[in-house]
Amino acid sequence: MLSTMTTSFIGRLRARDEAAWFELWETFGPVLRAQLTRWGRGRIGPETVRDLSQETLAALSDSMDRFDPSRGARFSTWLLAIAKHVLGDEMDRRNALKRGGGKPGAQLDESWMARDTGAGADEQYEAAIFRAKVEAAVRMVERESDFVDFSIYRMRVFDGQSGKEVAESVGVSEPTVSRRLAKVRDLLRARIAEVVATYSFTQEELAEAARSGLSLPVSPDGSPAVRGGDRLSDNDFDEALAEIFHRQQELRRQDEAVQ
Amino acid sequence: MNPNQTIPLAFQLPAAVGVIVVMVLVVFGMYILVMSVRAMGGLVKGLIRFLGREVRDLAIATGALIACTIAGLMALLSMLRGNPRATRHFALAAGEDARSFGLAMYRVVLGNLLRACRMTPIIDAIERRLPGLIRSAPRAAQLHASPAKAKSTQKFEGYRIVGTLKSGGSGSKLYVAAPDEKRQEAFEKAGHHGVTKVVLKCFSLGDGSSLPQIVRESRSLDAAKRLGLVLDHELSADRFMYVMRFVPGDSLAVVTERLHRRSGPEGLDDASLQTMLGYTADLLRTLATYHDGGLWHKDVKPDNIIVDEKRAHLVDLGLVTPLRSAMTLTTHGTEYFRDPELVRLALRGVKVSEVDGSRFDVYAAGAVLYSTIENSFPAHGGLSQVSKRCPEALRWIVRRAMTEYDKRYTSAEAMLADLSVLQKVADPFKVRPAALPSMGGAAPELDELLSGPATDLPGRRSAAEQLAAARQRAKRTRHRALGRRSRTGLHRGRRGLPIAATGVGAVVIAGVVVVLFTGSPSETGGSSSSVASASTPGSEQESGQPASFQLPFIDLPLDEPEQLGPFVSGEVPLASRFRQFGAPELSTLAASLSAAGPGRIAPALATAQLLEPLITAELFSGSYLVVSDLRRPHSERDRAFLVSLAERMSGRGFTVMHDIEAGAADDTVRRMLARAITARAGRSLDHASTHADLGEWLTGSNQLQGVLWVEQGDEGGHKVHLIQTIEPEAMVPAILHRERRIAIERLVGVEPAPGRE
Repeated sequence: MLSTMTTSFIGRLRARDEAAWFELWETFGPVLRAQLTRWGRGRIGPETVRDLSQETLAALSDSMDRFDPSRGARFSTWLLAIAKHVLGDEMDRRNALKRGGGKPGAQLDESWMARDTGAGADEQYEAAIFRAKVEAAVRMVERESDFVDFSIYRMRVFDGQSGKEVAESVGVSEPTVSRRLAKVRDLLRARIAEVVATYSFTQEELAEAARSGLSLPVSPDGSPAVRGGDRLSDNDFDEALAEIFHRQQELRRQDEAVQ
Repeated sequence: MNPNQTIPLAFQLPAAVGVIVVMVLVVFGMYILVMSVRAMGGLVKGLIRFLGREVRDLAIATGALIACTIAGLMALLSMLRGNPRATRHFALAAGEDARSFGLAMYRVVLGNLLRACRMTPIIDAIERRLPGLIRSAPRAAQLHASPAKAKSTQKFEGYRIVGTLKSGGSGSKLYVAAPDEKRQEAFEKAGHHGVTKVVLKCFSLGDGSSLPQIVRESRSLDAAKRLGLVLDHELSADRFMYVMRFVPGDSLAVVTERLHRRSGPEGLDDASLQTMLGYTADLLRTLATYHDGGLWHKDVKPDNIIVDEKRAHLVDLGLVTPLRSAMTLTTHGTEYFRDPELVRLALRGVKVSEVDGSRFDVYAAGAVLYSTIENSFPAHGGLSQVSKRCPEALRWIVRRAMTEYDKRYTSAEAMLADLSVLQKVADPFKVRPAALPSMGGAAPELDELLSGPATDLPGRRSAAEQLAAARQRAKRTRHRALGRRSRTGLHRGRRGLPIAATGVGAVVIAGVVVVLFTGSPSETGGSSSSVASASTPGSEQESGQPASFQLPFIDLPLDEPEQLGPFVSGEVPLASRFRQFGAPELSTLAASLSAAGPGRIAPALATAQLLEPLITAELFSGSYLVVSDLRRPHSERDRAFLVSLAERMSGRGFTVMHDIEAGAADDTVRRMLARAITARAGRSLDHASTHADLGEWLTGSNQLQGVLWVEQGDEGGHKVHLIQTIEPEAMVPAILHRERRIAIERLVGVEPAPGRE
């Protein structure tokens, strides 16, 4: 059963809402590019990767009307399947140019696609998709929060400064820093729950936040609730979020380097 | 010895003193030992650090030497192959690497040793002051353009082509030229002093440039000329060219790369950091001048910032847009330096005048500052982390500039105020963000801020004037923010409806408005007229957003011309008068209009999605009024003609607006039309004075670009006159005016008007 937010977002995509498509592109574009680069190691250049990731979203647009949520596919799998299909098309097209050279046409699940020597491509990909969702939530919070409040959270959690250093930098007391941290943290929890719910089709996807150490006030699937103010839980949340954020930064950096 | 015998005092005292001395010696010895161990530790640490630096610099020197050798060979090879541009390219690269090699070797031989020995004053003299002195020494301007080999067939009167520059993505060609004496005198008279070399940006239809490119480029030409950014321009039948001052030097991207290579992997050293702060301050001063002049650069990025021996100059006017333009926002710009919010707003169809475009320049300035600190793009947008050596306050400035639209610096001056604090202190690392003016710290005087290295814009106002302008703008910004909150709910996804103002220098060229007279013989006993108008509010549609098409209808009974309905808005927001229909509702609207009776233009809507690809959307972004003045009950043939006319015109439109109110009409238009209708008294409409009057009024109107007047032709036929705005004096509006007229004449078969158009 899809959440209201998911169906609403899919509705926007189906209605060809440009802003929704841009949101999707902004959130998952780097993950798609990274995945396509991994698959096509050495065979496709950055320009092609860029084109293919755009084609993936275009194909997604075409398949939007045929999407059937009752099949139980994960959101990430759905995205991946379309990316694979697009890449398969590209390889078919290339091999077609070489026909007669003894090379068979490419198939969607060719062995070269799994030649990546790192951790399983799927595992990496799933983790990247989840990180992209978290990043989208952080962006939302950045937009919604007061600049100073968010900067305090950023300095304390993402930059790893102590509460005292942050207080001195910003010219406020340490208790004020703590209060503002709590405010931003609560908003982050709410938005992560919201974004995960929007981009998740299955229960397994909905539970990813908890598995990653991000205790949320209201779980996307409506189950366990964590209230802000639990120091241990807050620390765990901050730590997990910082790790996810920095990993996503690394992905963005790699994506930029490839381009 | 008797145990009870006490030691004489004469012995006790020396013994005690001896013990104390020994203890003091032991303590001193231990202190010396500890100090020696600490010193040894420091020495070892220093030695390890020194060795680390030596190894790193040796590696840099080796790499630079290899790169220099290869680049040198490539330069030699290119020279042998007779390719001077490639030779120059490789030679410059080889020079850069040779410089890197030299610097690395200096550090290996002397710099690191001096640093290890804490000879800071010597290092400071060698590494900071000396290069500064050398840099500031007077020398010949370096021309970073290919020599006079410009095999151009283009000739420009008054200019001698001496080279070419790499063309950008605008479809133009860039020439470096030397103006002749006559031109130089003209420049001097116009206040452009010391112009010895210029850049000619030329769009030639023969070289593949198109009218849309010319339109885009010329949109802000008038304002750019006022600011002194454009020195001269020329328009002929087949080309459009404008002249800018030539700025020799390297792009900021190249300079950043160089400074980072020189500073090492940790990030910019103190001197380089100060240099970069200076360049950013130059950029912000220039942006402040643009914004004061009512312009928005829209493509601020390191490649568009040229650094000469003195300061940084912002170049490339390709996307410069008036801040008050009535056009729709476009997604043009460069990724990483373009605010993602701009894309979102453009996709929503928001108008330029509904946002504060200067804030997008501020975002780009923040992104440029980030790229100079990191030597990389802000791939994460506002969330990009600064990983290299950077003062906390500077990091804060970058974040504040790149944060959400509503929360970032409200102006380039505000950002400059923060930045200047870091420029003034000896150690920017000691400045806390809380001490920045934007956080309530002491703000430097605005006059002082703007009195940095002068921008090369003659149009730049005095500091006092800028102060007043800054205050004025702050007030405007507040009003705009209030207006935005109360009016369109910009960030809540509702599309703002057009507001009246047309931006300074904006070329709002054309559009389609159809006004139909539908006969109502039963009421008038014979003759009646009706008026309807439609407009495409700014179809600058590169964003892919379906354009909107407005189509209000009103009836104009001939006998009561004073009862003309509203079809222009004046200063009243159209939002209060019209309801906007989205594309999916087109068919519903068409059906309802068809049902309303004959003579309406419902069938025209079916073709509303058509857009003639060869004609720029901007050519049809204004409003036209079609007045049917047939002076007879409309026959089927009349209706068919008017519908066909409407179809042809609205074929360039998209979404539809329908007038749902019949209230306050625009007095001026009503008066004009009433006069035109009643005064003709049997005469043909093409009476010269009517044309002149309407033309004059249209010229001053922000809403209409022209009137298509339909009257009786021979044998029950129809005659259509086009009354346009009086041809504007500005060159580009003039060419578009002409193009628009030709297009409409072809479209609807306009007969040449005997009177003045």
